[in-house]
Amino acid sequence: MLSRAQAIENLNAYGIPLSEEALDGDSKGNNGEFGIFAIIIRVLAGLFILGMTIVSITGFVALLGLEQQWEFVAGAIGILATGFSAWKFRHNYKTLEKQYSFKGLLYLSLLLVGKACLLAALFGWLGEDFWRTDTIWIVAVVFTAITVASCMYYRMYLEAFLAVLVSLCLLDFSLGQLLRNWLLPDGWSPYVRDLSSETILLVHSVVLSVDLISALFLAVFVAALLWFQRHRYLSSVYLYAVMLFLGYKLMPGSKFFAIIRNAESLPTNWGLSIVLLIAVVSLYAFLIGGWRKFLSIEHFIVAIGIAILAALSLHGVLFAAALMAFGRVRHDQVSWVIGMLYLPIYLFAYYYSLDATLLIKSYLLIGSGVAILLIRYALIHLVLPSLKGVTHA
Amino acid sequence: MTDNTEQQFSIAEIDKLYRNGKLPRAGMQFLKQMVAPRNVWGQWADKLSLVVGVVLVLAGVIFFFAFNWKDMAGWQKLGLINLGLVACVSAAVWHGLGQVVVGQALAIAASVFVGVFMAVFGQIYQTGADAYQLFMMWSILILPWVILSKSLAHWTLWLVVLLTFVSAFWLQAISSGFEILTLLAAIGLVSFAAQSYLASKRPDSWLDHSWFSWLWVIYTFAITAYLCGLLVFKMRYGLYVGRDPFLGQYQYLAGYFGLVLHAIGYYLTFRYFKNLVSAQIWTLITAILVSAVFLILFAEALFDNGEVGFLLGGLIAAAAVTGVFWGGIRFLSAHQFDRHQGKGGANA
Repeated sequence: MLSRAQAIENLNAYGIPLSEEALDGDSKGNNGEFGIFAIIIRVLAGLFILGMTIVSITGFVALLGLEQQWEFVAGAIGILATGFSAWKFRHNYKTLEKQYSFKGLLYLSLLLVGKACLLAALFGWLGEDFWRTDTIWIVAVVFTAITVASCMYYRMYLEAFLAVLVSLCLLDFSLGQLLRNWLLPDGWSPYVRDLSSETILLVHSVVLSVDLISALFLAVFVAALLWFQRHRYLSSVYLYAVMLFLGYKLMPGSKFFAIIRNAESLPTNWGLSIVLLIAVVSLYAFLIGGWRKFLSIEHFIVAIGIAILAALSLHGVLFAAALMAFGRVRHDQVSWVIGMLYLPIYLFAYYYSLDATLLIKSYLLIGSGVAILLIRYALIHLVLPSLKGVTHA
Repeated sequence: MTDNTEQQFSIAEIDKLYRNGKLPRAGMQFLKQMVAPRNVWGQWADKLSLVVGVVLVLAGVIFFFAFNWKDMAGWQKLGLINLGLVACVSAAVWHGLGQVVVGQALAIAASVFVGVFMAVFGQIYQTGADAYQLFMMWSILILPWVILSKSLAHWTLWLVVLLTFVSAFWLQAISSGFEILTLLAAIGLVSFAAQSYLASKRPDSWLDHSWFSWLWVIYTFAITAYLCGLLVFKMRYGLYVGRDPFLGQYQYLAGYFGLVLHAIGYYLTFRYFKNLVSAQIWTLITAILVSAVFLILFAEALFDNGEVGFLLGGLIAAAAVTGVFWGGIRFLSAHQFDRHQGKGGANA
């Protein structure tokens, strides 16, 4: 139990202002008002309005006869819309109540319009095709810099979530482009039907390298955000965006590529396994309260289980389970739901992409299921009798 | 009068403060981490490992029989499945069903084995019967176990089998039209309403789990919204009538019925589903639906008029969507406090 005075003191020290008056004040009834689904719907509404506004801007540009200089019009609109809405959010729309009001929704839409125009203008100024550009890294770096500056200048978490996701996508894509240019021969195209096995291996190595570098960067990013959050309040939207993207990066994309191309079995991404093993074991140590706890038998068994999952390249499953455990400990339903949504997807993707016959896959499914049940039985009945009697599905 | 500063916070009180808008989400999470024991997640890990383990084993068994049945003799196939079935039922009875998670999981496994048995039996002794009969018999045979097991997961399995039976019956015996979606949506709506109503009468019982409500709310919303969309498409463009003995004459009726079901779902969400978030979702997604209908029926015609059409069409559509959302948010603001006061509770 925690006394009211202690709660207020701890929260204030952490960076979340709370006063006796606020606790004694009238109920505002925000039950669910700031729930994740309500937030998603507002973002959808903002994007909906954004789409329609972009259509009208296109018409406006055409009416003025400025099709050839559209990037300047888009840039000007982007700077004005972003600047004005950012100023509003910094000075007049700081609180969540205001941000989620109707006017808040309008300023969110304006901000989205501004950022989208800025992004389009960046591509326009570089004047290259999106998928083949060699200078996309400039767009990625500039847009990421805008995102970082935005996050520091004002607090609009819905937009920050989207902006972080878009920045990560751009950075990841530009990393892939750069590695492709370095490692693959000139004139290579993914649309060629019959690739040689050497080229497939080369493409695979590019994909593995991008996955590894991105995962490493994202894991460090998550660790940094968690470290910061332990000491001082920081909204979790950044964490959610990074975790969502990390989840996407852990999909066995290269395996699907191999299946589509009828390629021979490809080398395992051991680097990714090691990164995930270290990340998840560290997270587990964080959850159980420190590294010294690994001296006890039950935590040691769990660590062995994590190592086996990593060795089997079950990266996604490991990540999803870690996310769910993390969500439970932090009472963070969003992390838990992200993990729960990813878990069946990863399980399906893993077994689907396994280089084995269907008979072997069915044995593997049964074997892994029995192994999990046996480990559970061993933990509950042999190691942790205190967990007996868990009921109620 | 009690000194407020000495008040002690428990998990429930922190939740209450959050629901009353006195504590932000981050504050709620921070305080809960201070109050709740750190190892609570072990119980969750226990359940997760049980669910994942059982799902993997069952998936393996299903794939084994689905893909390898040609290489096995008939007695082997049926014998193995029956062995699994009897083992699961025996173990479930030994563990007990009511409120015992292992017993419930075994009962669900037994229900899956019934379906596998019927599928394999049908492959060995082919009678030419339609697939819907399998699902019909499957749903009838496992119903007693479903009732006895007192598990919402088991009810979910049963509902999936039932919905598959209804869909297959319609497609194989009657028509390829989309009218059946009204019945599928109605089943989802009844499931959601019945569970929410019974949970409100018996809080903290096995019926009181919000995931089940969420599942069928989202399912019903998706189907009814799809029906409304089809109605609008039918009005604007007409719809292709495939293998339909009624020549599409009931398509309008189905669309309007979908609209009515959507409205009933809206009412029930406010009435029984205690978490206000669901009501918000329904309101705001309905706003999106209305906006999309507007775009299809009116804005598209504007876009056909060149640059001016783009400019005006985009502006009018953006204004219309904004207006719809303004109405939705105003509506929620007007109802939120009252609903909140009346309906706190286990689903929140």
